[in-house]
Amino acid sequence: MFILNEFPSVNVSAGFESRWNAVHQSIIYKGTRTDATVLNIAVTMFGSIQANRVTLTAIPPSDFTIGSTLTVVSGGKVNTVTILSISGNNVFTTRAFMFPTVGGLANTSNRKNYYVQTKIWGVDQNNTYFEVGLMDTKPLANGVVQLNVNGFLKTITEFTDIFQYNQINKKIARSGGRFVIQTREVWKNYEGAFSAFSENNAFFWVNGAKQIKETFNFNMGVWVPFQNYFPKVANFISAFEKPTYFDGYPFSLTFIYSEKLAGRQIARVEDRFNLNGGVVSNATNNLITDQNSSINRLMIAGGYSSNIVEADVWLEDVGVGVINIFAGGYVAPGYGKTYPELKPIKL
Amino acid sequence: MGVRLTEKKRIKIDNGCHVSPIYLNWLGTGGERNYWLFDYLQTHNINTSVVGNFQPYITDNTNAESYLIEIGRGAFKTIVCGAYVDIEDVEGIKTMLYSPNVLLLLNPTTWQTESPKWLGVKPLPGSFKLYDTDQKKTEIQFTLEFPEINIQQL
Repeated sequence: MFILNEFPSVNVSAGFESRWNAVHQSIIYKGTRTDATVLNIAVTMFGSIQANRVTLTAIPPSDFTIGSTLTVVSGGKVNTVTILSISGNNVFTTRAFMFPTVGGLANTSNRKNYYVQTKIWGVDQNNTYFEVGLMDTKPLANGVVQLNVNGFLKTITEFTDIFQYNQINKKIARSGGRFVIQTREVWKNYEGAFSAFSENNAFFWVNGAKQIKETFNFNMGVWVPFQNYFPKVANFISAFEKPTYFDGYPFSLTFIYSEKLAGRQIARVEDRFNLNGGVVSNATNNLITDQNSSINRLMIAGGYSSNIVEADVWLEDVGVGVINIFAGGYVAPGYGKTYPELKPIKL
Repeated sequence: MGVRLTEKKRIKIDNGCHVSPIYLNWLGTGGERNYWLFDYLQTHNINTSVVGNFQPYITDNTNAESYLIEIGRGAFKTIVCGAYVDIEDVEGIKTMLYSPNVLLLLNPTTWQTESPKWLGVKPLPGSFKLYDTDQKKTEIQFTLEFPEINIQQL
């Protein structure tokens, strides 16, 4: 059995989880190979020799055979023992654990060339899932498997600018978006079934790199908007503290249209200022909400009258919106299907 | 009145007329695009290089064209741009100097009707002085390398 227990996300604040990662740095899942779960280990006699009794939570799998070795992780120790006898849930082994322990796992050496195979899915500009690659990873001695998927996801980034500067906001799938992984166990003469494809397990990547000493490690949390987060807010991604809009030239701001905003109507709000800092005008315009769950470009209104010298631009949640979500479902290998948009539910 | 999700990003609006505009759009380290307009004065240069040559066997010296025949040439154009900007602006502009994707707008007057047409250009690497800390404004100068010119090669 292989179970993931660490995921590439960071809590930017209690209850606010950012699943957005910089793709040019590690994106790590961790899991543990667990052939059998240990309930406890006792020190005992087996006939006339000292032994360990490894009590499992269930009857051991059939490849736990007498005479074969087990790697047992329990009580913070990793030991290799030989199986002497099996009785129900109890496996009697040569003694390696000096003291009783509780919990842990036992992996058999009969599973030769064990590795975890990971299938990585990305999403293209048409909201279609496609397979990015297959990655094989061997576990460490203690059964821990570390999956770093950033190398594969980097191959689907595009450095150029495909935005046409003709709509208020647009997702750019090759600049950042969602990904999903499935895992399965493989060993000699055995290929397991892939874990279920679940969009609840989607994480996200961005075509960026974090700098040393920046907060949240390799996570893009500073730029991820959440509902019910105010007065904390997300930043726009920009190299400029105050970008300059040159009237008559194509301009956009980049932001993460996070999956947390699904089902809400988001609007761009602007305040325009004259030379004295007075507000000359303001405007609220709705965003296109089906561009959700991806890095997005945002255009500003433009065409400002000559007395406007500066503008504040920001995003607001203005109410319940149409529900535009990806149709779910497992995609068979080699099958590229476009999921049709669900009909919006008018509320 | 909705609930604010992001910071209020302050945008400076430039309505001015610009002579000789060079409008650059580049990829920033967060995955974003950044923009700046360089104008007024640029220096255009052409850089050429030799590929190789050979000596033809001359039988008719009177009508021979030359003793060395070139098999090709290399050339690329560079433009030296500069700007006089606020320190806070040069902090953003400097990211263009190390961006792996810098694009130049080729159709500044017609991009709104046809779509924007971008040419990939390369800021030449080097050491750039950005500013002294007692300044308010500073001058920045850099060279953009244009794609190679395609020349016949024997």
